[in-house]
Amino acid sequence: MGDELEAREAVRQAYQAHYRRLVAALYALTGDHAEAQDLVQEAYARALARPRQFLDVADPEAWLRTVAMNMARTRWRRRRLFDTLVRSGRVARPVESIPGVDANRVALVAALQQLSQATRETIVLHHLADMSVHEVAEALGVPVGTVKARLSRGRAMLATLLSDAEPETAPPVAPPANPPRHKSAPNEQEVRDAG
Amino acid sequence: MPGELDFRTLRDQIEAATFMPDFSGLRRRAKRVRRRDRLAVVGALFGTLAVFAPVALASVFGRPDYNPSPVGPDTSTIEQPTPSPTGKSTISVQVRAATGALPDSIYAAVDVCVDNAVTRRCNLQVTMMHNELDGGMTPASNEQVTPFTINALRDNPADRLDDVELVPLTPKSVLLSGVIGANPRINMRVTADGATAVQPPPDVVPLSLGDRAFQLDSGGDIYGARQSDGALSRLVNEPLLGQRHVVTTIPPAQGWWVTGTDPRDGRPSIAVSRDQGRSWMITALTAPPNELDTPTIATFDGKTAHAYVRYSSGIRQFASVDGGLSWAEVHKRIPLSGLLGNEGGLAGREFGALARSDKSVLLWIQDVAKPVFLNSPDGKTFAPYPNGPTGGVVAIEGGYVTLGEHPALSADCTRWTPARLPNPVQPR
Repeated sequence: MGDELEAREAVRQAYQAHYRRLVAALYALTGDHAEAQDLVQEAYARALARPRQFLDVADPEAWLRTVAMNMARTRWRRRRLFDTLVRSGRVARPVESIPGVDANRVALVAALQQLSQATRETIVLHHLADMSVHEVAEALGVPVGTVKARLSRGRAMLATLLSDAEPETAPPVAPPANPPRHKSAPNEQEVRDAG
Repeated sequence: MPGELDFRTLRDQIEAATFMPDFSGLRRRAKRVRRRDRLAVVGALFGTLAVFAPVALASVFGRPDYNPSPVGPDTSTIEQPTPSPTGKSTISVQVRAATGALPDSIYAAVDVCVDNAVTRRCNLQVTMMHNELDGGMTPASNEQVTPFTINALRDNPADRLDDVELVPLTPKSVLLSGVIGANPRINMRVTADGATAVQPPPDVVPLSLGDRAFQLDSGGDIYGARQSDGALSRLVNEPLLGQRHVVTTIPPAQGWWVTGTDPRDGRPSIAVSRDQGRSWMITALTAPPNELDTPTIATFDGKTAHAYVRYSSGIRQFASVDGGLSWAEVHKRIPLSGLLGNEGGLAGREFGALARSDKSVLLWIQDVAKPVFLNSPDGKTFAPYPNGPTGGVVAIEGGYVTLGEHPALSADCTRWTPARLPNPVQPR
């Protein structure tokens, strides 16, 4: 019984120490503050449901984050069709604004939602969970080089997305200067080294 | 300021804006978690009993009348399907995916399934496919080693397997992949020696003309496969597209073609690289954002190319005569009959486009029983094509293969000959 109480106390301490930080990471991952809170609370509830196992965990924050991210992935898969419609622009799902979070940060979270799931997870773990490249590689089960490539590409895409969103009055797509009728001019992507 | 990637401020602001609910609320939630876990255990117990009790009863009260024909390279080592209590089992052999080259290097992912009153058990295997009329076009040496792998991708023969893909990696290996339930895509590299799991390659290795592009996950990173030694490589540069999809049916000598969406506005886009992914020419089509999927590409020679984009209300078509560098919309309506012509009728259906050497194009759309085919002599004006084969069609090098239970081969996508699948192995 003593162990049980000790374990519950460990969960309570982890709650005080990590809750807000985990919500921040999950919000960046999902783009939905309410869903992020729900996922993190569910992770704590699972820890509390088996408190003795939680005592054996070496890094409680990492454990809770992994549980919450796994649940987020499961929800994504269940609504794959909906997410496809969102990415295609057919269904609008704007990232909500949160009191106290300025519009530029909300725009950053919205831009994160346009990255692939793998790239988004990599960026969130590295930049919002403060994990090193090696720790991210271990957590996601991919090589370090892949993490570096995803970070490089993800930051480039975020910069592109945010710079496109900068002029508030500009149309969503800037047409070419003299567009040929029903024809699109190609744009050559710059060569960059992701290594 | 927009354009600034200030993650630290983002985190600080969210943390400050997040209210911490009372801890006692978590205790109530934890009780619900425990209750749910107990119900899951009870459900699993009942499920196990429901599956195994009939089998146990059948073994006690008599063996079923089931006598499958011997198949496979060594019938003494092949496990036979679990008999059903009623003794009624049906076996189906279905080609789920195919790749390779005519005439003698066609690989097929074949699902051999046994259905009975209780379960459906399947065995996915990769084997060579032959032309039945010619008595087999593949050398006898291959006959001895096929299937290259059995029981692929599934942990359990009863697992439901979706989105099976088979793409070429090197002259001696193919990439087999599929999705089980809600799990991530599973990737296996299949050679004559068997199958091994594929992990994302960590390094960049030099690639040259003829090396191939591939993906390990739909919409995910793109990698390269060196043909000379089979080494896999990260790319130094990937096209900035959403929902990226590598078109693996176009020979690599004609460039690497990737379809996707413009990350800024979701418009369907096409990227082509002619230097193995070091640089990309990206074109966003003059069309609204994709509704159903990324463009489907058909090209025979790598210069004249067609792109078809499916929407709820129909298919829009685009053409390129400069190897995918620029695209012009073709304003000709593609006729769709029956349910396919209804609003949303194209959603959730398999779809393919194939270009022939005479510049004609064949489209196919999976309908309820069999695909619906549309043919165009110039790739622009389509008409219903009643003489299509019985299954969906995929292009391979030098020809075409139909999928399904009656696979066939064709060099011109017009005249078809039945395909033969040697030694299918039944599920364990």
